[in-house]
Amino acid sequence: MTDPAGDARAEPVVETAGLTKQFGELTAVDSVDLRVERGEFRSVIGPNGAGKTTLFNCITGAMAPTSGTVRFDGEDVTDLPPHERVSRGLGRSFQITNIFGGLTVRENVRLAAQSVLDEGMSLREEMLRDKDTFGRINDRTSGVLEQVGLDGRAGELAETLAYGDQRRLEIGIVLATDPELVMLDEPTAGMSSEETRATIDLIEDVLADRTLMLIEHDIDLVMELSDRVTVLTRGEVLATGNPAEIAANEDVREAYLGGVRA
Amino acid sequence: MPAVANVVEQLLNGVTLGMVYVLLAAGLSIIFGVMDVINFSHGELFALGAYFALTLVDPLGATIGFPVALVLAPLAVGVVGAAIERFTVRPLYGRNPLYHILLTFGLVLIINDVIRFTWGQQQQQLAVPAALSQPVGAFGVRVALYNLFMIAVAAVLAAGTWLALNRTRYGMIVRAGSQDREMVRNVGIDIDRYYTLVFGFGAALAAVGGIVLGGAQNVNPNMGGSVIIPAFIIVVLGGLGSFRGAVFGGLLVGIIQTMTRTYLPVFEGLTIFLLMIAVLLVKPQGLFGNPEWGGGGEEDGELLVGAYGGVFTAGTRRRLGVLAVAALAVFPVVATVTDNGFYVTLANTMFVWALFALSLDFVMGSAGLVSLGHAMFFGVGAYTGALALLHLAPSFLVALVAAVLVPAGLAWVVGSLSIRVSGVYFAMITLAFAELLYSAVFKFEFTGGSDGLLGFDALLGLGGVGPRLSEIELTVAGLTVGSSVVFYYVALALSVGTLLVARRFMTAPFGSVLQSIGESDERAAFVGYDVTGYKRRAFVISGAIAGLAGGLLAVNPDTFVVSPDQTLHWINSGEVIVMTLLGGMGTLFGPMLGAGVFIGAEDVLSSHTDQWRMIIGAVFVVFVLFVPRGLVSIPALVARRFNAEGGDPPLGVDEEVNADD
Repeated sequence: MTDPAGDARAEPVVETAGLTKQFGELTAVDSVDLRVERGEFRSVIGPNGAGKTTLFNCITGAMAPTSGTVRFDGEDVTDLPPHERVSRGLGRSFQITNIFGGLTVRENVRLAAQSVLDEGMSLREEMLRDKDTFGRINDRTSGVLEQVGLDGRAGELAETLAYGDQRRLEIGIVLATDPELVMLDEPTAGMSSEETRATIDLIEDVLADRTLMLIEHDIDLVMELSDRVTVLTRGEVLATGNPAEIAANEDVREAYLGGVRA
Repeated sequence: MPAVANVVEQLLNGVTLGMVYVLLAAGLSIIFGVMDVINFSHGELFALGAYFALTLVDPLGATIGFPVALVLAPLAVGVVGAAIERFTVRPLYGRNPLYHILLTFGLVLIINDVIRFTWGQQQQQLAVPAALSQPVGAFGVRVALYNLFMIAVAAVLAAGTWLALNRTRYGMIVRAGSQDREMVRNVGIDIDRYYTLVFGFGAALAAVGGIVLGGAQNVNPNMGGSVIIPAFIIVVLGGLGSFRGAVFGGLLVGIIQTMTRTYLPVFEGLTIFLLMIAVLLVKPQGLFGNPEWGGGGEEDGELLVGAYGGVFTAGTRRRLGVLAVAALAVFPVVATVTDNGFYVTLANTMFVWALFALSLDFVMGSAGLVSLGHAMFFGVGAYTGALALLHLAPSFLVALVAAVLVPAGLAWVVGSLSIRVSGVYFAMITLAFAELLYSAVFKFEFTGGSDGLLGFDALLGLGGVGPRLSEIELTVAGLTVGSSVVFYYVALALSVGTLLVARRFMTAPFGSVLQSIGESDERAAFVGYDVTGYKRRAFVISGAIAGLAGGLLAVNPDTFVVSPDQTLHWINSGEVIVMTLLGGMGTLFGPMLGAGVFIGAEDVLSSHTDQWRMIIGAVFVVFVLFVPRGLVSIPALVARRFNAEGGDPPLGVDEEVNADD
């Protein structure tokens, strides 16, 4: 199935071609061709084990694909390590909360800000100057903390935050790296429906101007938020389209939605 | 064909030694696979088996005693092993595997001292039945019947272990547990109950190895220390937790060791380390290792740093620091006036080790890089310093600069090769590099072989101008100031200066990234940091500081010899980890304090009792179990005791942190 919205004017932020990841006999991601346009809100759905997280891992560089390519902003990044993809504007969150638990909330965000604002920092400054005396980094940090509503808890250790706040902090960390593409792997996993709503509002609020890729299990949310939806089953793309098309797609209904809604 | 017969004989010898290794490595590997414990005391359990056998064979005679000992001694060691698991290892599950290394390192000191105390220092002969001591021959190959007996015993036990692992319910659970412990728990099996059994069984296997090897060679207090490193190499080579790997690796190392000793004596002691480094670089999970294993690191408990445990405010801390430095500055005056010059010499040793401990904490306490081979930088620094004094210029400045630069370069090379493997594998590969260097210094003339280097003397100046450090004698206000005192002030200035620079590094952007890597290197990478690059840079700085410590050891006027055992031996790597933890990891000054306390305690205890190692080991075990954040956390522990009724800040929150708001 080709991408019907692939008109020439819209430039893709991320584009994969024949992306495949095998673990021994198992093909977790099977020749996936994906094209996400700038400013798009794309959700990736599929049953457990469909290869959603593995797909994210291949795009972000956490795993090397067995074959295929990943292009980011027109550049082939297939062989680049994760940190170089981040510096090109690719940010991600993790399925299992991944923050710097033993550091303060502020330091978590500050580190993320420092990583993208450290160009032009001399070796001497990097090695000897007090980390808290860099104006631009501090400004970005304070701004992000305010945006995600954690400015009142900046001095607390990240690991002492409640679960929902830790997920907020994780979004703050991603935001502080000023990414062009944000990949969120189940940001609402394990949350109550109110927490989920609050988190989604936060995402819409602070990340709306960026390109978003989201793995999410709540189909209603996905249908409500997404510009386009990609359905994965057994590592393959079953369908891609806007929510209405996906909802109407016979294959999808049979393979996935039917099973959930029946 | 005598040549062929010779090779076959050596091959048989290699297999014999290899089978002993298999017995050791199988237990180590299963223990690691099932409960993530790196058991440094395994070698001492091996020795304990031989000593128990000795006690049984003496009254009963070889013919009856030996077979009896072969059954009873391993059972007794098994009980010891089970007790070790139950009472010391168990409280540490869920913490970082480092704590098991530390705990079992303490156990090594205790068990080894118990052995020396009970059975004496000398080597003893373990009598074997006369029937086994005859040689047998066929086709021109002559081999002791006892060798064949050893091979048979070990083969039967290895096969039995394999069957038990693969054909019994217990074995299935143990194997499943080594694949995925959580899964085994989730299906409702209480895997923890099996731990004691597995540990005891591993200890018993090691004991059999000790008995059969003791019968072939002799029984001595060092036998445990001499097999533990090869046993680790085997386990890592074969793949941690893999039984097949342990068997294959054991035979391979036994044969390679025997063959190189006979045919390539130049490379004796080097080949297995080179082999291990090569294997780890090509296949980090070992030859038969499970590639999924240990990759995630999610199961790893965190390292408990002392940094945020404090109860004092920043101002109090600064005052305490200034006070400490001031006290150190007047100490030699007091010591000289009261005619206690010896304590200046002791303090000089403390400075050397304090810098060494600081160097380890720089990478371990921040980025979580647990180097088990840090003695290599210390040792290379000491050798470089001594060589510079001997051949380059007899100036202490030249010696120190060289002692910083060469280890820093070495750290860059070792770091580049080993930082891509993480956790336990990193610890093991650094250990292998250190052992490689330790073995290498014995081979070369310019390093002085096993005697080490002597006859060097440092001048307090540059380019051959200046007085000899060892001959300085000043008279200040009627007091005679010797070279030790001059060195004392040099060492004090360098220690304080290095600590201050290291602290600056840690509060700068560079240090903040190291700390984030220690918290979660995955998150650090996905925030945009080149984790490998940062770790390598930290490792180079750490190597330079360790080299400085080694260089100071060389220029110390009270150092007459720089020898392999004093600098490059793995015990030194172990001791510096002990000091770091004792003081409080992650605080930089804590480990320096730990080094001072350790050296001081060693000196006091060793002048009062021969069993001082046992006491240090016991204190250490207590620290790992109850004060894992080290000496620097004691004020906080005490404070919590006194206001246990609540109102105290949660563990880990500290005034300095709160002040960030």
